Amino acid sequence: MNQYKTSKIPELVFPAILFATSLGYLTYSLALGAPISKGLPSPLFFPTVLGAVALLLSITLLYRAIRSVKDSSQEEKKEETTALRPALIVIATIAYISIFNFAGYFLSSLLYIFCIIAIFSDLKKPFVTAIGSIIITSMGLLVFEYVFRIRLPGILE
Amino acid sequence: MDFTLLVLSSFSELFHPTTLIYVVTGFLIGTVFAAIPGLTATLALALLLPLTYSLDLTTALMACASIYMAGMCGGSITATTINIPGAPSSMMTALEGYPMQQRGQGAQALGHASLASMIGGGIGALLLIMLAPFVAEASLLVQTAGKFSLIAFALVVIVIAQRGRIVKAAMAACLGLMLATIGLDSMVPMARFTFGTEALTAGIDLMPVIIGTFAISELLIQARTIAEHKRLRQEALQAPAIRRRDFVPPLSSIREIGFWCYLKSSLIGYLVGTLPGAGGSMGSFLAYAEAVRTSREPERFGKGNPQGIAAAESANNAVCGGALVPMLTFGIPGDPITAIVLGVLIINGIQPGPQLLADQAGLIAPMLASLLFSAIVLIPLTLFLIGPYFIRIVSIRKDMLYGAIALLAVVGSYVATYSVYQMGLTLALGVLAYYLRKHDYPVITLLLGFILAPNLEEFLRRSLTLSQGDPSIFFTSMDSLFFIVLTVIFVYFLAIKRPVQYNSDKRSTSGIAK
Repeated sequence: MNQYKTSKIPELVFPAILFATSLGYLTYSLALGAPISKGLPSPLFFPTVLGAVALLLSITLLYRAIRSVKDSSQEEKKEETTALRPALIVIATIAYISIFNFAGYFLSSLLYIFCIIAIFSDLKKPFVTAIGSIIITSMGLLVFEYVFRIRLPGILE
Repeated sequence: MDFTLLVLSSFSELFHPTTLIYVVTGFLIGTVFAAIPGLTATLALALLLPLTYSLDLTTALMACASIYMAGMCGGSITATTINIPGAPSSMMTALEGYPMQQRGQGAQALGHASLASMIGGGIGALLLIMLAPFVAEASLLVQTAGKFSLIAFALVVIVIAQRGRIVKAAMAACLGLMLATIGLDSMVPMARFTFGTEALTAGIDLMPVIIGTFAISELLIQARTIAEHKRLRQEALQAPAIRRRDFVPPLSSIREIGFWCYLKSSLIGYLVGTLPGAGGSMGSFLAYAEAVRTSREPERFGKGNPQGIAAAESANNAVCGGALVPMLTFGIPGDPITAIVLGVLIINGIQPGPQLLADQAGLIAPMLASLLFSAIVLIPLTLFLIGPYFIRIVSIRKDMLYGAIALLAVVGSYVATYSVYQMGLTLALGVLAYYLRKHDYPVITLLLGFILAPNLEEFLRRSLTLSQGDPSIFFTSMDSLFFIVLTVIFVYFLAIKRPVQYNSDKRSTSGIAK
């Protein structure tokens, strides 16, 4: 298998996940019970039909992806992208959600926004990033707490 | 007529100072988001959705309407000034507006765009106000089997409208349908796909789906392509200054375009808007193609022809009125923004459908008044007051902007139920939507599948129960058969027949085999 085909293998992952999800959905639906009960549709009728349709579609997509890997004769031009930044944003968001109630809105949001701005700006100007984080967090507090009267955790507690 | 009078009387509510502030602020936010490439008015609405919890519902709907109208108009700013459409619906505007900008007529191009948006938005809103009550009355005639076929028709049209990726669109729709089946069944108290988790028993709320799909996924997508932002910022800062007096298009230019062009394009946009999944981009393309086809000088198109701008912008703003018709009368959203407006109604306990206009006319009328007001007053006013500073919008620092978006999105998902579980769910759905978008799956079909699933399943099971399990009910009920035939017609013309594409080099429409 040449390097071009090897580089296209990751493109099989997503269709494979969709196939597994559809198969799992259909299997679980059938395991929950019969789709038809006494000649009438049960609560599992719609999920069963849906699962079957999804399975067919996912098989089609997987087949096309496999054919695409086999048929690729030249490396396609790749746009300039990075997978690291999205991963960092997800990690930062998970951390933010974890400490949101514990640390309160202001502190957790300050740290979170600092991280997000740093990720987008590659932390080129940390002082500006810090100031921006404070301003955005404060404006968020103003908007949520005072304009829309939404109680946020950790305020004046 | 009663409904029309109700809408007119709603203007008094619109001009209440607090309400007016929300409507104008919503319009400005929609304009800013639509002007910045990569952001959309849909994103703005998704971020503001949680805040509607603490607003009066009427005010929230009026603000949504103004954001909607602004979103269709705002995309023309960067389309004209730096040849990058701020919104997909402004692609045809870029084709004509940018050449005008290059020969020093950028302000005039923006003036033409605003005038056309005003006319198209106004006509679309008026048609909506006049026709919606009749459509609502007609919708009451649709029975259970017909309702299922109608929703199925809407889903099929939404899927096949995604030309070139129909199978992917169908898969995304199935994912949305699957997500909606999680939780307690609505007809029989049975837990489905909860895996014994108490949190999933209540199912998945609409809020995390909307915020995850549009806000979180957008954040992740934008994080992948940073270099593009720097180039856009530099281009925006280098764009020449614009003077206010240059915005007013010459009368001779407007006469040359002709009232018939504005009217025809608006009608095209309105009718396209009523089709689920069609959207502003299809409306503006069809109107533009029609303008080229009927022009005595088609060779002038693509070189900075104001008629092209007029056709495209009239149509995409008229779409607003059309897209609200199926949403208000059948509970079927026509595009992402109407899906979010539907979310506002559902979150506040209002069930859209045939009875909505009859039972909640007092709630809907002010929203339509706001739509009309935004089109006729706010569009030209915004252009005149802040038009010279429009292009500066693009030069806003993206890192700060996305920091604010991230905060609004994540905290917004918290405020609905004061639960960090919703925040986690929003993130998970955002990651799913990100991967779907990364692999060119349209997330709009996921969202609409999720929204339409409950009714689709309910009407399917009710129909089969009524017919004692006999599926022929869908072919023997006249209303159901009508929608099935309509589905077949649309599938033929949109998916099977050769699509018409505009060739900008030849300035003519031609069929291209797929």
